Amino acid sequence: MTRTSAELRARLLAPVDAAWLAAFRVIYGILLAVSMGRFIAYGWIDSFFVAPRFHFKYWGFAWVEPLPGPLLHGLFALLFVLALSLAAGLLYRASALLFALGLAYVELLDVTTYLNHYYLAALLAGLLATAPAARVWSVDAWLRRRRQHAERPLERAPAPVVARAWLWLFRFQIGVVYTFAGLAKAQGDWLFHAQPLAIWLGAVTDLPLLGGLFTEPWAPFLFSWCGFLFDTSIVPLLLWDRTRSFAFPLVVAFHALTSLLFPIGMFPLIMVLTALVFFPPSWPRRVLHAASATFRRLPRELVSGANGSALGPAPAPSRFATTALVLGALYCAVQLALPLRFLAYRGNVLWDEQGMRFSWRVMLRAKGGDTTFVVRRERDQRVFFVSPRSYLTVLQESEMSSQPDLIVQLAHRIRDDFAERGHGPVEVHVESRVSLNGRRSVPFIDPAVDLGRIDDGLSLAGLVLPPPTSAPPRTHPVL
Amino acid sequence: MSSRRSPRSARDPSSLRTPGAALTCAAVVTLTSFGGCTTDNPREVYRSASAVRPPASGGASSTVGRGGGTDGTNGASAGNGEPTGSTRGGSNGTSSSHGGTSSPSSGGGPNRGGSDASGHAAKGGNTAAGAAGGAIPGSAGEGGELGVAGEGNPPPDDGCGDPPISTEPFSKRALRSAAAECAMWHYCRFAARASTLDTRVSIHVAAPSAETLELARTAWRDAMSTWSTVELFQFGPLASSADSAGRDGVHGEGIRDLVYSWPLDTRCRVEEQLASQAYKQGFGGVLVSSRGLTALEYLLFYEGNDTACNPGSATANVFGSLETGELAARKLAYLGAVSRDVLENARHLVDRWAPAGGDFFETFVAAQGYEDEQQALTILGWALLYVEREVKDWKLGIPAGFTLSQPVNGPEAVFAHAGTDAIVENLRGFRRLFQGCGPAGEGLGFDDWLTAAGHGELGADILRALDAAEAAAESFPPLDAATPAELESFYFTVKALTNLLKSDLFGAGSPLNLKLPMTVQGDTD
Repeated sequence: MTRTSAELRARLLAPVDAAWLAAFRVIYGILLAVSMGRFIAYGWIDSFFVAPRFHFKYWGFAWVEPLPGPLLHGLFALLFVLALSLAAGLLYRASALLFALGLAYVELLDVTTYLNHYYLAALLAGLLATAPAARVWSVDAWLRRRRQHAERPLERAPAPVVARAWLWLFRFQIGVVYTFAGLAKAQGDWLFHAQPLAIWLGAVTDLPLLGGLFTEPWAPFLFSWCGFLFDTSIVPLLLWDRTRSFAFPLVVAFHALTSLLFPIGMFPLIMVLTALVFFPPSWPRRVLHAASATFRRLPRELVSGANGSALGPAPAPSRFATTALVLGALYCAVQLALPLRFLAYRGNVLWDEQGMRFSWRVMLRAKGGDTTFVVRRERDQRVFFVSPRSYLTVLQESEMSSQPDLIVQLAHRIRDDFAERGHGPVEVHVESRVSLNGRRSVPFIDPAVDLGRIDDGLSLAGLVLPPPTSAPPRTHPVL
Repeated sequence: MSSRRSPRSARDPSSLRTPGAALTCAAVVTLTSFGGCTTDNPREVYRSASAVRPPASGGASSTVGRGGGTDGTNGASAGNGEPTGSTRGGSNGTSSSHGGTSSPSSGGGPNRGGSDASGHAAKGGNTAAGAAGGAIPGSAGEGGELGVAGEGNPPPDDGCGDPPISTEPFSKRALRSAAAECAMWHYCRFAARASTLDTRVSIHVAAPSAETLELARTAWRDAMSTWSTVELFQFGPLASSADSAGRDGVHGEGIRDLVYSWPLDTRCRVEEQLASQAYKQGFGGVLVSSRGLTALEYLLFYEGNDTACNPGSATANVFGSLETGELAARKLAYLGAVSRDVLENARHLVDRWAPAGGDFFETFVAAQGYEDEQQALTILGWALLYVEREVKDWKLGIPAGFTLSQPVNGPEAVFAHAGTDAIVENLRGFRRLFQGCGPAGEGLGFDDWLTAAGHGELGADILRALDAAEAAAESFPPLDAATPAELESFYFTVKALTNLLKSDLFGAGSPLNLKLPMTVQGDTD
């Protein structure tokens, strides 16, 4: 081990107050519980997972099948309970692990339900499941302390610290989201044509106070550039001590505004609260210390060490520490590679979608289209026009219409369905048109290709016709 | 966009009262159960009628609607020159209506008005009916509604006046207001025709003859023709509240299905009522597939005594045991009951928009109850998608053999052979909503929103596709007589229009942010 790597290892394994991770666990656990509750309350379990008769699969995960409806409802109820258990730190490791697996299963059920913030939620749940987040301020810790006190009253409790690497891993994860979301905005549609923001602002011109502002010609450009600058600069601003006190209110304001303007569910709240990881690790104690001036009955252990001191001696690094650091580095490498994989496709990712998922391209496209499958029966050349509606829900159809791999998957389903109905071999072609960021629609998939003979895979760019070359039209939000 | 008479603006009721009241009072006998004619609220005009007064058409609007009108064919509709026929002459007036300065005569209205009526007469084959119409007792107040054959007869009034054409500059609120006015006007027209239909059916039930039957059939065709335009105005109380219908999940009350339940299969359901006569206990327990215009069509146009219900069913057994005379009597009795039910539902629909009945006009214009005004406008826009699913996929795609799955149990208006007429009116309804309420699309519509938002080219393309679809529809033979090649050609012409709707106007790429009718709206990011 070189000196540099040894120093790096020592720095990463250096103990820091575990309060930040405990607070993260509590806050994030509650957010996850609310998220699961929304699925239950809004009827999304049935709409997204039970109602569809056909499910789009992630490549490599075609084996993931939805449970029957009642079991799916039961799963979400279980996830709700597990999220609360995770927040409380009760049977933490099992709760967090089961929750992460359950959430991953749900997200793998149907590609059309993919959202960047659901993906982020799953990643953070996975990180939490591996992190020592129940070391303090948890039911597990309380029970352990009681047991220990009863069995070995003179033995000192373990220090409420975690390795600094955990802090940086969580910061990295949040930072990746902002940074790639910002870099993805560095393109003409966003910066020079204010699209698709101009379209979306046009839908909220009735917003009190702000709505009228959106109709000003400069407003979409101002918001576009502010969004770009915010995403690309907020991470360093949060990391730097001298700007953090200014940056965090900016985070709150930015996400409050996006929450007001767009139906993005829990995402703004998740981003605001997870940004707390950029504060010094003892921030929760400081907050509680300040609160204790008002609420004098706060337990002493909650506020002790508010300045980061009195945390006790650091435990010796685990013998698995190096392995854990390597795994952490691999995780980071994957998180960097996934958003950058679009470079290998050399196309316009917003158009051909190759490298789109898992890349934090958030709010970048107003893209939709119309798809009709043209099925030609080989024995007599009879043609059927098959509407995706025959197989899909509206949400699924809307998502499928602009994503080539999903179009191929449905083409396969249609091919098989025709065979099951006794039509024999068929060719499945597609008439599809897609519009992007306000441009007029253009043909999307090569209609000459028999999609029934195309294998689903990671590179379907060959099916996709060239993107529109014109600039998006200027959209004027109107009252 | 050009317009000549301001609609009854909520901001300026006084400017609306006169024409409105005149319209109201002219509705007369057909709407006698409604309240008084005097009203300070302009929107009362679409629901109340108790006196007879000639329509006080607003200035040039009479020119818009009546120019070239020689009709007399369609008594209930000709008062404003509203096109109801199946052949239209002249250009569609698209460009002029967008110019903002079009004159009445340049908007295409006269051409349309002139040829429509006669075309309808020819298609319906009812030209002889008018001659007998005047002999029908108790019908005088209907403004010559029976004078259907009178070439050159003064157009009778249906009490609804000229179509409301907004002169306001575009705003989202103005668009909602214009669409609401237009919807109310069409509902009013349908209520008038439902009243005429009920009157004629009552006469036929009281003293059935070939002549009274033909008059009732003519009235049904008129009502159906108007309803086919109303089909494009499915938002608010008319719309279904069921998520599966993808209409108005906020304020929908499902009145539409009570009046017209196609594509539900109706024949056996109607025959069940004839067998059981359960409707006599009230229509509360009668399925929508057993009532409405589809039931009336069967009862008026189907002359057989057989049943479509399963041979071993209770209904089939009853049918087998009934004497021909008894079955005919039951059909007549149910015919009268259903036509009364249709009229009551039509009135209820009109009433729901009036201040006394819930004032949905204000609710809609203010976007009350909706998440925001964008949701109200999106739901309004969904009404346009009728041409995509119902017209393209069901009415055309199924007989053309292009649509694989068949959620539709039967073709539309098959007993009356009125399927093509219905499509023609569907497309006219589309124009009224998309372009404007005037006969040639004058007034505010979604095209004006597109223009204001910088996407006027899309609006123009949609209108061009609509022109082509209308032209194809108007020259199309009855659906059951069309050749496969004709069906295919018509299908693709309509598909060109619906492609623009689904790939450009609606969906995730919509320049107006008009989402497709999701059954449920989840998060986005």
